[in-house]
Amino acid sequence: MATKIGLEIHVQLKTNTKMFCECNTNFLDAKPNTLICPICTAQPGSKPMGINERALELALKTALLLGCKINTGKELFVERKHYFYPDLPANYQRTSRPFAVEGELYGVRIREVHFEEDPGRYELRTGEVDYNRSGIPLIEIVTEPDMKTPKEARDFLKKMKTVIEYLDAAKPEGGLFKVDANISTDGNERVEVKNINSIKGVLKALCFEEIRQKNLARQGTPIKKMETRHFEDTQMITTFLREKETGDDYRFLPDPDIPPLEISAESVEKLKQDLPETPTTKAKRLKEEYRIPKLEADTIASERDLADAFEKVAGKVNAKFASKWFVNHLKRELNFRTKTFIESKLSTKEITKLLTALEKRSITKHTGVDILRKMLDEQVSAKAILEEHGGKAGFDVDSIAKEVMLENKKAAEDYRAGKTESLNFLVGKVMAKTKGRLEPKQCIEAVKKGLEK
Amino acid sequence: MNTKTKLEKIKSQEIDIEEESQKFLQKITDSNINAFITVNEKQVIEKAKKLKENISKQKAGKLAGLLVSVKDNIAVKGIRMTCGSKMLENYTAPYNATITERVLEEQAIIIGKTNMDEFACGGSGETSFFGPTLNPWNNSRVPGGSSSGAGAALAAGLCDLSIGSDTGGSIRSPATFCGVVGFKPTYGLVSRYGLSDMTMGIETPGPMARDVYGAAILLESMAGNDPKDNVSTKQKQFDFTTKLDNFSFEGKTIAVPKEFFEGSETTVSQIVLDAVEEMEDRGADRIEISVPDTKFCVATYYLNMYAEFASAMQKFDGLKYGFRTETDSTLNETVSANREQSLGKEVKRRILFGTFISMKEFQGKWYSKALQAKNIIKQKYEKIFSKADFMVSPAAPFTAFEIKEKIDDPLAMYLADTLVSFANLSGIPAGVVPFGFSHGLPVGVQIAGGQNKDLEVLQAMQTLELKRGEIKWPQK
Amino acid sequence: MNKIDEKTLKRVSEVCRLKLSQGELKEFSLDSEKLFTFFSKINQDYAPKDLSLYLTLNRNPLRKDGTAKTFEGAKSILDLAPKRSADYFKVPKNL
Repeated sequence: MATKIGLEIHVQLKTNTKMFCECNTNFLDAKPNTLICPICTAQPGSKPMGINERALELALKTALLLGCKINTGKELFVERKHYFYPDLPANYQRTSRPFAVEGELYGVRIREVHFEEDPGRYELRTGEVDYNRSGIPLIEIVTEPDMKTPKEARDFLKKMKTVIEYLDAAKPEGGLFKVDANISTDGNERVEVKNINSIKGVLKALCFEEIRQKNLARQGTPIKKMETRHFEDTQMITTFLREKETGDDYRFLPDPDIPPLEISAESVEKLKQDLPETPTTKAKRLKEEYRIPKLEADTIASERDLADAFEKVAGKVNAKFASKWFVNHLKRELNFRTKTFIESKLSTKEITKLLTALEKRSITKHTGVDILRKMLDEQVSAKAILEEHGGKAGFDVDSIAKEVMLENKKAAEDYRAGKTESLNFLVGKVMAKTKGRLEPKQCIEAVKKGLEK
Repeated sequence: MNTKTKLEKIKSQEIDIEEESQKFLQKITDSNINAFITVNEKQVIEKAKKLKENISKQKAGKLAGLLVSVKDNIAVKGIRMTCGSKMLENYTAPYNATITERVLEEQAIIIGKTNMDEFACGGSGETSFFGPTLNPWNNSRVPGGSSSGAGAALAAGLCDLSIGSDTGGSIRSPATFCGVVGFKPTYGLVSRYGLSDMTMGIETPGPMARDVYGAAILLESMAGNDPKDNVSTKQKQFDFTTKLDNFSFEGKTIAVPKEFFEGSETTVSQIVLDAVEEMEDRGADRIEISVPDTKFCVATYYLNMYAEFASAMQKFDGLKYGFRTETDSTLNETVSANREQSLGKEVKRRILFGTFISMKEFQGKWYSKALQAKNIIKQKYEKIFSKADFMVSPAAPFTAFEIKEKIDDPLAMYLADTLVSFANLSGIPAGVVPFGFSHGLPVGVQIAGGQNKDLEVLQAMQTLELKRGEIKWPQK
Repeated sequence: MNKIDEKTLKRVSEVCRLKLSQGELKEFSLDSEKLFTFFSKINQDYAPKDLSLYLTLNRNPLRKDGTAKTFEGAKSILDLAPKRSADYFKVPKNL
């Protein structure tokens, strides 16, 4: 009887306004309790406004990308889920019935997807409550307990993250996810660990829980009753919540203030046309279209913007060459700086210039890396650096070799006559002209090529 | 002086708004009926002054210069909003209800917030934390509820118009007991944004006045689509006044529900039947109909209401606003204490039973059935109004009862709603127009119509009112 | 039996956070008998039918995600806090 892990993943959807009111959603930049109104603080008499259309659209697209079936042609209710907790201003949370079911991502089944409003933020230790987050649109993705180890759960979350980034569906700042993790060991009851705010946290929490549960079982007190726990991210442990955050019976009631939604099959079809490729399909396509190794295709496809850049560049330089460079150099430098491609602000034009120069061997590999680093750290354009290194588009070594041979006709003739030392002489001249920025090998080849003509 | 005339005299400046406001404020101070929880004194004078200056220069709003009272469960920004409860004794509304905005746009002057049964839980005004409102016609009697202050204030001449709310008869009950006009609009005609939740699926704000025209013009000012209320009508504007008099009973069918009369006092029934006769004299056809058992209606109403009310009341935990005990305790203890110490008995009863029937283990027996029953009632009334233009009946089986007579018997109190909850459950419009007296106490006639037939119902009420003539209002 | 016994009522009162006294529990339990006996009128067999839970015919209550608005009275909402700690609502701790 193995360990079983299931996850409930909450993602904040990328919208300007909250789910049921027009308040701003940029809670990270705001002073506490400033992005609030009567609706998201449940003042007496307030009523929810219409459901945020963009939130619904993003929620549907996410579900589609996760391979889910959308429940069309029937009424979708938004219900009140009742429980008392200070972060929930009305002491009920508005949450939709599942609108999508039976999906799958990398071997983990998705049970259902629904949308809901975020509660506010209640700091348990100090008793301080901030309602800036209250009412923010969330999507909740519920998996089947198909994961067998904490590491599997972590890997799954990483993949989920990529999918959501692909859609640009989420507000990336402030932690993409809030996860409730359910874990049971050896056929015993499950333990729910609520409100874990990072993928690393999920790994730690589940590792801790697995050990704790197994220890209890060894002592003769296995988990026989479902338990809810809280994850202490500073200590990396789970603790029993003194007062349960949630109820056993939520007394779900279709919200009388929100008439039902009816998602039509046509609207779903339309959305399907609008979907981006998933990371998996993109990687596959890159591999086949550009004939690059699978590993490289996977790496490039792991970041949508990186993949887009690659495709632009691969149109102008040798694709295989570009792919290797993207993986071995660009991605490496980005990772080292913990920057995403988009954050780096590199333009495909600049990359193309750089790669062209590298391809032509007008600069050395080493120089190429230097230039890339300069571009990342100093935001200097490739053009500027390349010019500094010599030549508009780097050195055109073939024409320089030609030049040298025209200037040194005697040496050229000597080599043709059999004097091998003349080659060195000519190569030396080429290296002087290129200020030693090119690899000797390149110069030799260029001269040899020129001499053969 | 009727509403129409008053409006004209204000516009022509024959009436000095400032003086008038002072007069009314003084009347309120002198009054003993406890109709108001908060009086807006300072603001009233300021507003009146300002309006006086501009009244001749600009286009007058529909309600220009009229003194309007607002039930204390409807938000008026910057003014205390108590819902008749200790829980909100010191709560100041941080925003305006949509209807408040609209009424202010039409240049009404909000004179104060009226007394009501606590969180609208009652039909007599006796459950208010701020003490009961007295009936101006007879101070030992109840004014009806839950819009008790709204009705009593009109009868006592303490305001020109009142905004109330009707969940299970809460406008029509005080209308009939206080001898004033009260109208429950079609569900969704008037925005509920800013009306404290009681039974969200069926309730609505509504107008009350001394005459039908007053109710009509107030309704016109409030009605129309509101993006802040998802159930509100799609239509943006309405006209309930231009054609108010363009009406004849000729050819109209009047349904008379025998069950409504069976349980009513004889004099009450007689007055209503006189009204029916009046309609027949003017060319209407009368049909006797049988309606769903009125007690079945009450049971359905209360069960549906309990569940939604329990949900609505969850927000009152004393943590964000409202009553907070001094003791420092655990989370659950604090919330429980806050609620326990500030909510009245009937409110607690309803929360308790509402929670009970919403719980998984008990839902099937009560709440699921109540939902079915609600549907049945709605369908039956749809059928009635496919055959009849109006249904005419008493609004209460009796006239205003004595204070304390029913308060200790919840069931008796609930049964006072027997003749009104059908309209809420079906969503249809129903109004009450005073038509007679029984032992010195007013008796109103209730006229109900089909979905969205609000104008027609008002027209019928107007015609009856013309026949009735003037009312001699009580002195206090 | 339509009466709700005191034990059940106590459990229900905890769910809805009402700290009822013994006397109140007793009283409400007695009330429940009278009231729920009356309510049992609705205990009929209803023909299975599509239940319309809403009086309104409105469907798909959607709102365009436009520019965010600032509610000017945000400060007055915070001012309503019965207990406050600088910019926060102050409530009991849970840890």
